[in-house]
Amino acid sequence: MGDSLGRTEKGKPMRAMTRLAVTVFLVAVISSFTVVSAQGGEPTRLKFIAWNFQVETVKEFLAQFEGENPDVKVEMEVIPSAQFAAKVQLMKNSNTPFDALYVFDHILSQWASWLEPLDNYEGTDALKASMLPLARQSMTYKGKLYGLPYYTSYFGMVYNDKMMKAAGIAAPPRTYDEWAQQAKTIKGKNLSKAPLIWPVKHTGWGGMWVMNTMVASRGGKLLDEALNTSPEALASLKWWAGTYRDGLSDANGIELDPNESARAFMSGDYYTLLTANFFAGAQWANDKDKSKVAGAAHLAATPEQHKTVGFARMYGINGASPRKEAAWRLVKFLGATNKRGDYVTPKQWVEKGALTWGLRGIEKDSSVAASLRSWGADPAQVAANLENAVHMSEVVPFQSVWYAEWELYANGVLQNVLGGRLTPEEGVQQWSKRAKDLAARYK
Amino acid sequence: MPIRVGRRRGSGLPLRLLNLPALVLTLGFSVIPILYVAYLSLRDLRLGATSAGGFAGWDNYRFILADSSVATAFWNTLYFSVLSVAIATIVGLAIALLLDSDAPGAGWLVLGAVLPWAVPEIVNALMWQWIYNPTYGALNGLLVSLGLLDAYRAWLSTPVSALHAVIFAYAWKLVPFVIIILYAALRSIPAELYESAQTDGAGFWAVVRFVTLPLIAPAVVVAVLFCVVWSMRAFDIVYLLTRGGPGEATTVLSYFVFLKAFEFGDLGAAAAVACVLAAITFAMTCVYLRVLPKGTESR
Amino acid sequence: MKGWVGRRRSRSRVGTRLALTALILLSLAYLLAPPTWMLISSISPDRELRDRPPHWVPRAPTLGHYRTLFQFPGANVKVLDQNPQVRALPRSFLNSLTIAAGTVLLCLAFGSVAAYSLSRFLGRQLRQWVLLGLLTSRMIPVVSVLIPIYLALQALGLLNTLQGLILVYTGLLLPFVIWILEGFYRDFPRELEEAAAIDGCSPIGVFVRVVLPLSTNGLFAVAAFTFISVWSDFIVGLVLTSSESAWPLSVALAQALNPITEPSWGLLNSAGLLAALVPAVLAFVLRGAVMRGMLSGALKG
Repeated sequence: MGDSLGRTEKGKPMRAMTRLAVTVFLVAVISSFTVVSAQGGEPTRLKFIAWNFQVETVKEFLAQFEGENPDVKVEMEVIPSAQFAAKVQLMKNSNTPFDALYVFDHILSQWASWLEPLDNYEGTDALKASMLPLARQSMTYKGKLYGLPYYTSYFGMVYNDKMMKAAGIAAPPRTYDEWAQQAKTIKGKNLSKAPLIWPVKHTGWGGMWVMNTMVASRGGKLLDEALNTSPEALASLKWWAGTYRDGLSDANGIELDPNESARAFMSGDYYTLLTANFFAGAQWANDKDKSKVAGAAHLAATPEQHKTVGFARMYGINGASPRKEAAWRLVKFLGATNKRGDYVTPKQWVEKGALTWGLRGIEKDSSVAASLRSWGADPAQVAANLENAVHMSEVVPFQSVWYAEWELYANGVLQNVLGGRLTPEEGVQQWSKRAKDLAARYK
Repeated sequence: MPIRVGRRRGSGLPLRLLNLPALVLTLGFSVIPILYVAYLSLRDLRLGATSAGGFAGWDNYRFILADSSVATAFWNTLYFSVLSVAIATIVGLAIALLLDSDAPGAGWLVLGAVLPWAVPEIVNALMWQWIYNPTYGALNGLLVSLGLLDAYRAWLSTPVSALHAVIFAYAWKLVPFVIIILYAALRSIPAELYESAQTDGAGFWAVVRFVTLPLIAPAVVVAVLFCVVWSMRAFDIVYLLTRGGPGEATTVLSYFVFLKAFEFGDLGAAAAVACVLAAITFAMTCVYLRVLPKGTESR
Repeated sequence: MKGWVGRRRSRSRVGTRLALTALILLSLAYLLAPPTWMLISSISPDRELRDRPPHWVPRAPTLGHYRTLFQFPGANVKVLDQNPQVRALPRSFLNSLTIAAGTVLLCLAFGSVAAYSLSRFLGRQLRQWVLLGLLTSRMIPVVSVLIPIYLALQALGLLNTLQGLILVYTGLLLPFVIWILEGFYRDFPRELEEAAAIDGCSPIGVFVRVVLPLSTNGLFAVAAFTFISVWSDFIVGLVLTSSESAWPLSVALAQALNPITEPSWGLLNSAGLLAALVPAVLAFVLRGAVMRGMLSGALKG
């Protein structure tokens, strides 16, 4: 019955309905594909600016992030760290688009005007609660949070355990007098010509940061609210200048920056180096290939009150970015946790760079603890130091707009005092006067 | 007298129009900026500021005249200038005389004379930074192996040493200019003068003192003046060798302006110092014009 | 011997020649030793350079640093990874070439016309003032005018671009170019121009067809000077650029000098040598013109 295709008279309305249903169904399916592919077809492209530290490691992080977030692609631009601040400033001035970037804590006060405050983003409150005081202080400006921690670092004493034992000393110094005494002993036994080395180059972070550390360890500030120097500042400077006068500190090394002073320490010629804690890690002092003191370089706390000063680097978002939501996902991945709640990047930074963290609890991870121990750091001590560390802004007017200019000048004065061309009293007086002059100008 | 050309084919207008790009660019990049800097020095403007900044009157000038860092930069620049020009002039004169002596080997000097001039300042700085390197440098190596030094020194780490090291490196690059100017002047001294002096029985030094030097004196003055003006503007070598340090020991005025403007963002004060620096070099240029040999009057 | 040395009796002549030759050798050492050491360092392996004292003559000379610089096969990949600014060097070399060539072109094109017009069509008084103005603007320190130039480029959106740099360099060097060429054209014989004018040539025709082809000497000198000035400049490039796409060689090289890890001095010296080679070769090839230019620049006022 019916025609060659089996169609019957009676079935026509039925077949029309079916055809309609099938058509609608097909249209729905096809259009849903189209919608999906329209969303997934054009990924959000983020521009991320980083400086040139372990670029390959960062690329791995970005690949992991892209794996978790297939709708986002990240393009990284690398700028050498010495030029980073100036170049980003230039990019901002010329309205070059970028979305997320590294931020130094010392540039935060200048960049806060265009960085995106993160307080109202999803998940920030929980992160704030788990942040170490050092991290939160360094990433907050005028009450607003501007970043998530890339790493924090505190100033600690890296010491040469082999040299110490060879001199018959049992433990690293707990007071400044003991420190000078131990250095004298080591020098007397001809184990080192000038056992103490410091990063005092006049540009970049170094000299004044060590100074701030010493002052904080004595429980004081360098400059108070009235911009006068404190007794602790004078005492620290006197002690420090004394070590140079007595030949305990290497006068030849007065223009070494943090990297160069670390490399000098790695040559095995020195007993102690007061510097950022990551220089004790497996990439620097405990690097088996490059360091002659690998395995013997340990990290100790600063003398006196064991209070120390720290700094931080953070991930921030460009306030002018049209892709803030995607940028926030990137910043959260890098600075906090992945979608499953694991601290992916902070843990890897400990292992790959000996960079300590900004969120509490990371030291409890077994691989982190093992990594710390492998280069002579005690996880509990590190955690305690981090908890104890204060940000520079507690010791000096770090977030003032004129601080960078003051610090360059202060470094020069410091070098003059350490070199014996100025007395410590003149030095602190010049620090205070300059701070007052600059504050008056930039009011 | 200007030529009168093309009275039949056009009035020279298209040619004059072709001057427009040169006029625009010269005014735009060489004339207007100077005026703008003077204007900026009277304002309170920060780099990257969103607001226009207000009128500051003479505040910026008051600040820089009282500021110890500006004074340091000024004295550093003066010392830097005087010493580097002195070195370049003495060495340049000596080498020019050697070139003029036609002694064996003098021809090679021509090659050597131009080379430092052609080397870019950044490469000059790199070269000297490597030579002065405190751990591996050639200067240290040479002095120690000759027994003149017991241990490797960090030449760029103490104020006095750093300043002189930078001056020496800078002077090295100034020398060719002096050589060429003085050599040309030496060549233009007529041989008869020498011959008559020698037939009078004058010895070496007498000839040089009484014949050569007086005749090339104008050229020496010109060379010195140019070198002084250039050295007052020195920037590259300071930035690349010492970043103005240690402390402020090698900070010269140009470097100071750069720091103030582009690192600390204080455009008003930076502009004030920039104006002062420009005024000083302008004054020196006027001196140069006064001193210029009479031959220019034909212009 | 001639000149100030004068004629000498045979005995002291030998003494004199010896003394002078010794001094010449000393001068050669002073002038040539630093670049020679740079050359030697560029072909020495780093470990030989780290000896104290360093090996004055390398025992195992190598072209490895050059390979790394250009990222040819055999390059030291570790060094490249640790120093991304070294990776930028070949690109910045090209940038510098482009910027310098562009500036030379514009300077010659605009400057020659302006210089010619200045020497022919302006009254003496006005010309003196213009020349004075040109000389003065040559003397102004670049850093003084950089602030407004930076702000201007920022407003025009030309920061960190090659075009912006070409424009700035042209503007800064034109006074010098015009000044030199004016002197050149002033001494130019006018008979040829007058003859062409009588033949009915327009002024522009006279310039293009008669004057320009005969000015190649002066143009070469000016081109060489301009190229070398732009190639060697540092501060303008430093302030007006921020990334690899526009870095001139001098700026990229400066950044390569401050790596986080121990720098490869052999590599840095090889980069320096190449950076110096271009202007050195140019100065050598055009040495006559260069010297004439230096002299006219100073002595003719």
